[in-house]
Amino acid sequence: MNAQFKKGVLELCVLALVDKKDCYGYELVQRISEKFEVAEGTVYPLLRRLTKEDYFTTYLKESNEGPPRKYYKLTYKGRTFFEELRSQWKEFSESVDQIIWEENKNE
Amino acid sequence: MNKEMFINELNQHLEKIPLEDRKEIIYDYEEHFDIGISEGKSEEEISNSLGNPKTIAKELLLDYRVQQAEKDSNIVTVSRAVLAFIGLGFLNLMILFPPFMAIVGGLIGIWVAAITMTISPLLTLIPGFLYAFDAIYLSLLLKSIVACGAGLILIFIATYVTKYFIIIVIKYLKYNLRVIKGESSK
Repeated sequence: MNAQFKKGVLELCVLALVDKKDCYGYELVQRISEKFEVAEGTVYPLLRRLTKEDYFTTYLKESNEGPPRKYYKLTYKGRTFFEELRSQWKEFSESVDQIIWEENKNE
Repeated sequence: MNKEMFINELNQHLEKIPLEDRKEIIYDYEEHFDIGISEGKSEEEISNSLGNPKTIAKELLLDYRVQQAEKDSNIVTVSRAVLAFIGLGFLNLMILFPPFMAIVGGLIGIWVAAITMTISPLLTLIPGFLYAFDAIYLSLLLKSIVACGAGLILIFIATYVTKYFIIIVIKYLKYNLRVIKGESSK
């Protein structure tokens, strides 16, 4: 996917995934890179920033295999932010779709 | 690049970030490697998908600088944040850098003028003690007292202008921070 597209969308994707269920970093990275190519290392700075802005809280949880995992959980503030961002995205992407998929009616 | 090399390089490029934060950052990447390895991936494979540690470090440093500028807003912290953006090759900020510096220069000029005017009665006292307190001198002192008043007003205005300038710059930097996230670093 075009790098320009990914810039803003990554944040929205991360928020959406954590909204569904608490996730650990590796899991988020995998889920996103399954869908589009991303420099995986840049997801962590994003998670860190969203945590600093109180959109996420984190907790450690032991796992059956490997090391304990740091889970991210959406806060109330984070959910409000996500819903706002998602509706902005919807409005924007629908408008763009209308323009780029529109049949030519004049012919 | 194996895990150790990746972590070392990241750590090395993060040296400007305080140890406590750096440990947290490194922990995340170590966890990422460890989970990947437990899923049967090779260290090289994992570090390739993560991208260049230097680019990651630059982005983290940028976050840190903006955070500092927000927490302790002054010309120094804001300028550091702006420079961190320029270090990442932000064209829009490079273009805006000369006007930014011009405004900073202007503000410094206003501050110097305001402070000089405010303390001018004190400066005027010195020649009075050295020479004589005559009529010409007293009129000079009177003028300096007027300048002091004007200086105080100027300080008041400069405080507000500086404060809002810093707020606007931070807002713009934060906007840029959101725009770059996820940009491929390969």
